Amino acid sequence: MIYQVENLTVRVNDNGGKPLVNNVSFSIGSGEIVALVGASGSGKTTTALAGLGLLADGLIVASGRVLFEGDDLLKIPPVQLRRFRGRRIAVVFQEPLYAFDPLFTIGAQIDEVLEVHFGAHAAERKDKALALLKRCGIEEAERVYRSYPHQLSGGLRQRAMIAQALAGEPKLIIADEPTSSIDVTLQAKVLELFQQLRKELNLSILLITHDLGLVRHLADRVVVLRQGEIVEQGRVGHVLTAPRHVYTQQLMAAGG
Amino acid sequence: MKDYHKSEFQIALGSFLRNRAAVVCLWVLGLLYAGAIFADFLAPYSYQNEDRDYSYCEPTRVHVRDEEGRWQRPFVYGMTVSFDQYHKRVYQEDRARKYPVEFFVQGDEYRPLGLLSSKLRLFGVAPEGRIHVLGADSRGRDLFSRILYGGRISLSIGLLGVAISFSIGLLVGGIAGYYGGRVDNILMRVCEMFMMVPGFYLLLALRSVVPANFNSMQVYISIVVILSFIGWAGLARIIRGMCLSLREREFVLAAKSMGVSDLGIIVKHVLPHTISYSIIAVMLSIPGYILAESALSLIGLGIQDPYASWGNLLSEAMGILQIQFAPWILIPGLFILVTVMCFNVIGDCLRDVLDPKIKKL
Ligand SMILES: Nc1ncnc2c1ncn2[C@@H]1O[C@H](COP(=O)(O)OP(=O)(O)OP(=O)(O)O)[C@@H](O)[C@H]1O
Ligand SMILES: [Mg+2]
Repeated sequence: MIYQVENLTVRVNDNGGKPLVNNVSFSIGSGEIVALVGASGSGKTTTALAGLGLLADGLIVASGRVLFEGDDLLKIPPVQLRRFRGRRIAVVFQEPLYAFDPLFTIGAQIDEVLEVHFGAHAAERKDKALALLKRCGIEEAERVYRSYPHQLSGGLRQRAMIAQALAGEPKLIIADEPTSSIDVTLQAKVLELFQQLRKELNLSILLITHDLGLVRHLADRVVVLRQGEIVEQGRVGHVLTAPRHVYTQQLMAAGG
Repeated sequence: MKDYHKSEFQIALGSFLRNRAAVVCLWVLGLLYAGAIFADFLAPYSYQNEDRDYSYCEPTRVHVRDEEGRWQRPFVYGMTVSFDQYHKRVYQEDRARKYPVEFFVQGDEYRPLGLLSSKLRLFGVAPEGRIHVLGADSRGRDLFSRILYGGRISLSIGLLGVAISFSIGLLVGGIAGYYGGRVDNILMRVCEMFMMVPGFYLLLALRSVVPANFNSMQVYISIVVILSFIGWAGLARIIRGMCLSLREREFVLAAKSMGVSDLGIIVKHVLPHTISYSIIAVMLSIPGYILAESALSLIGLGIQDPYASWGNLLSEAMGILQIQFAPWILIPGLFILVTVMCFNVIGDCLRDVLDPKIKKL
């Protein structure tokens, strides 16, 4: 197991109310794709980002452990945790138009990640960045490298975002609704890309989504969250063909 | 492929250039700065060249016709001084002494950048005569030359002061806004302490701390430092406000998730987004520095004679008699006025152009 979440509880700092994430446990094996599904507001993003120390202000981890290759990320001091971010675990955000800084080119932002984690000469980094863009299925890598985020189509932007996530050579990618901002035909292509990357790089992926069709195509296992609690988890085949929980059935009925 | 960014910039530039007043002001400022930079060449005299015989001499008249009305190349007469019954100096042109105005003449020596030595000056008259296009001061120094040299101090103090206080303001505001919480609280209380004290008293208090035996360069630097010391707080507060909202943007979270350091995020992904505001604020705050320097120099706490700044040139005009008999010594004030006005007009125009939100209000 490369990534294990154990009894994770996240709550709002100053009130004793119901936790946003309550006693959640699941794990991801090396090269495995695990889907985290649930309705909007069910705590998917919170669960995924807690380990990286990226919770919004005012949210705290009340208890639990998040293990990455055996290290408890919640116990690592912030300065060292930074070396995990991007380098061991990278995040692909839902809307790359917002996740990229509008003031800088795609190239500059991939370069920044390379510089932070590997240093090296500028020319070397550029070659690497172009290779990353190509690996993510972008043919006109040079042009994309020089473009500002708003100048690209949604599909290209999403691929560039994935290229940026790969720049730190992470072992785990957290993909937070990676396809909900692009149209259906492009979605299929991005899914293919994830599958290919998993195969070639032995990447593990935590796929956050509420699209069960996506889960069926891509994921090995699925974790179903509802109001911060796990209602069901297991192999995709099992859970989606014979959902035991009403909530899962509702999700399936709603999304397909 | 559309290029919103460039076109946004081009639109801004375009509407800036369409603003007649702003463009004129830009040119005026350009001329003033050029005058200060090339003062050595443009000024007929060095800033300390004095001739007591020309004390409070009125602006020299340049003639193109001699007594008989014949056209000549431009020339000036020598001046003789006498005293009227009120002991007031009366200057009269001495028709016997004629000095043609010459161009590219050898005048007072200067050393650009402290390296080479040169005497080349744009215009001047033979050393026996004097030309004072804007009149002379109490010690018979050329006001025009001293205004050009004074511009070096008055015009650069604004830029330097703004550069320093903006660096501090951006950094403090950025850190306070980005981290929020306790850090923010402490930094903002510090800012408020600076903002609480009326600026001019703080200026005087800080100036009194500066040792009296400082040479003029040290005084100049300490004035810049003092002015920046006062100016950074207001800016820091506004930048902080902008950063508080900027840090909620998703690209900040994304940069964090990629392992970029906090300082890296502040410098690369937060502060650059305050650029429009910063440009406007820079333009609008430069006049404050220029005025503060003038005020200090005016009351004798700034740049000291024989060095010139527009403020200490004006300090000659503190007596009613001087103003009455030698009104031209008020001209440095005109330069201050024009400069301050130009910065304000440009700043206002930039605000209209760069910040659509403010315009709609
Ligand atoms: N800073 C915060 N303070 C208080 N509550 C918060 C804060 N951030 C998020 N929440 C709450 O936490 C819950 C879980 O949010 P989260 O973003 O993890 O859900 P999600 O499953 O990712 O939803 P979506 O599908 O909309 O992205 C939501 O009910 C949200 O209102
Ligand atoms: Mg979410």
